[in-house]
Amino acid sequence: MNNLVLSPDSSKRYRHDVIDKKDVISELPDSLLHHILSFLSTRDAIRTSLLARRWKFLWTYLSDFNIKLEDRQKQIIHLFNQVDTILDKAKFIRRFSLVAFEDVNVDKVYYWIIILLLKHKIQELELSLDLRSPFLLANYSTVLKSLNVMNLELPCVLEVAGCVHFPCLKTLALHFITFVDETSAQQLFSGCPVLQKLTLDNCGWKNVQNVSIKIPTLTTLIIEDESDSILNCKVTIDAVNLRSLSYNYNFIIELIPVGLTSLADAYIDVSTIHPSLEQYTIPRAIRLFGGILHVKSLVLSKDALSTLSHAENLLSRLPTFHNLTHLGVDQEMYDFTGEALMDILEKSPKLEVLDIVDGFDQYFCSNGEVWTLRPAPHCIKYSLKFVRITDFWGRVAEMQFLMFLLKNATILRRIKIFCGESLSADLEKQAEINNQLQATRKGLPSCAIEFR
Amino acid sequence: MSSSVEAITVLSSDGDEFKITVSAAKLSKPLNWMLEDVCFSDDCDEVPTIEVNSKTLVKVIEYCEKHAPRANSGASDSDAEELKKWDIEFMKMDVKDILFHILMAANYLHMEGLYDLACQTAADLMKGMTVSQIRKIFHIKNDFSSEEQEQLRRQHPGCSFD
Repeated sequence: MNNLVLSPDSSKRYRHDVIDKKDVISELPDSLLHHILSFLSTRDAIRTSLLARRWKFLWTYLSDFNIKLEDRQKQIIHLFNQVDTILDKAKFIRRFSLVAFEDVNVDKVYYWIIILLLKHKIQELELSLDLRSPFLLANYSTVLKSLNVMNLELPCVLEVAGCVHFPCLKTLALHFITFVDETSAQQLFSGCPVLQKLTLDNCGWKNVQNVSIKIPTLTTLIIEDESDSILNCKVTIDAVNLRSLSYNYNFIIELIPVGLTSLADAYIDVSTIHPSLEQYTIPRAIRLFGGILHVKSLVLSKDALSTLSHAENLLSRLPTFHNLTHLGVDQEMYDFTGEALMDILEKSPKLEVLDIVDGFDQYFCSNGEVWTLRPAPHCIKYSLKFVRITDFWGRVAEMQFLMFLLKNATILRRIKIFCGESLSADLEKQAEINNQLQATRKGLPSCAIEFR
Repeated sequence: MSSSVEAITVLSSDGDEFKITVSAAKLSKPLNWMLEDVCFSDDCDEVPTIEVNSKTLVKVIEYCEKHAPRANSGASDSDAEELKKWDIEFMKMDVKDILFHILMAANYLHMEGLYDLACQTAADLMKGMTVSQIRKIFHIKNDFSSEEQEQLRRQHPGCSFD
């Protein structure tokens, strides 16, 4: 679009008020230069102080500092000097992040934290340090008031002083820390009355037997751990407003959900656990599922379904998921997990969407008998509307599964099939499968089958 | 003028007339105020002046017209992706000249999107550059005395002046 509407000769009147070699950038107002610097990494922003006098102190007006050690050997001392310079010169620090997997003197870290809290009233603190000595979260009296976000990645023992209180902390993430004792763990969780998001990643619970996370404001909880040594530790989660739970924990501790009535999404991811530990893990799994019965959308990943399928009398031990409308299985289906899936379906009377993300296993799915032996669950008959299946090859078990759905799901509208490699190119075979499947749909409202 | 106008005419600081559509003008608060003035005052012959030179105003209006549909109605992810690419092409202009005029104009016209885009573009020109390269790109003169340089070098041991 040509916006110029008048004066044919107007182009001659463009003012050339910038001479080619003029330093225009340095003439910009401070606020504008600060904004430009805010798009640079902390390192690059501080480096601009070497450009010219005009630039010497511009960086000190930045509020967010992210410092990362990139070259281990060369820079560690420079890096710590840089931290000291920033804490000294910066006018106001809102966010401070230091990622340096180096063994740092813990007293230096305490000093930094005190400056950040006292001088800058910092809101977001992120520390990733290879701290070896125990770390004490002390009570800095009223200064903890400003802290909004705290992310600590410290592979050390964490001790929490008696009266530590974070009145405004909304986001807390702890990675690789080990609680020194039960009192410390309890003090930390009790001291965050308005916490909204909590991440506990590979935390050590060996010194804790019983702890309660009772936080009414909590909406998101992420618990992760890769280890598989069973601990005698109970963690009660009492969070009436929890909306999202991500659990990747192998049941090494016992998680006891209480009153999670607002839960919308749950993601349960369990790695293969040694069969000898099943006597511990299965009751823990059953208890976890018993506590998330209000969930609306549930994804079972890795071996979560396998773990459940090893439980005896699973059907009678599962709660009824009255609100569950979306179920995802992010694990290859086997004959035995098919049974467990049927049990869950039977306990999910309102399920509308079933998503088989990882397809059916080539070797451990026989003739799909599991889908023909039992009467169809209530949800299949009356509420299931959409099914998606990935990595589909058209094998017997897969076909039996879809036929079972098409035969029984009266209001099923659409099946989306993501084909395996050879099938995706073979349109003839796809048409043949489609005909075969549609033939079982006789007498029921039509259901679209889509191949991708 | 009636309230059904689709475009308004504005004057640049050089005195050239430009047309900008109503939906595009909404991207800037001051432009929007002018628009309301024009719409609500009958037989107002006065064409409002914008303190931005013609060369810059052409670009600002081009930006507004491109971004207006999305700002007014929201857009899909693919549109956002397309717009991002367009932004990068749009900002391929002479550093010394238009970039800083755009920046000042965006600041003056309260156009957050364009302001951020121009600042980001300026910052991208500094990324990964040595101090002397940045000086060269922006024609910044090193006015430090040798004592000052020495002091700064001590303060920022990891950084080099070159």
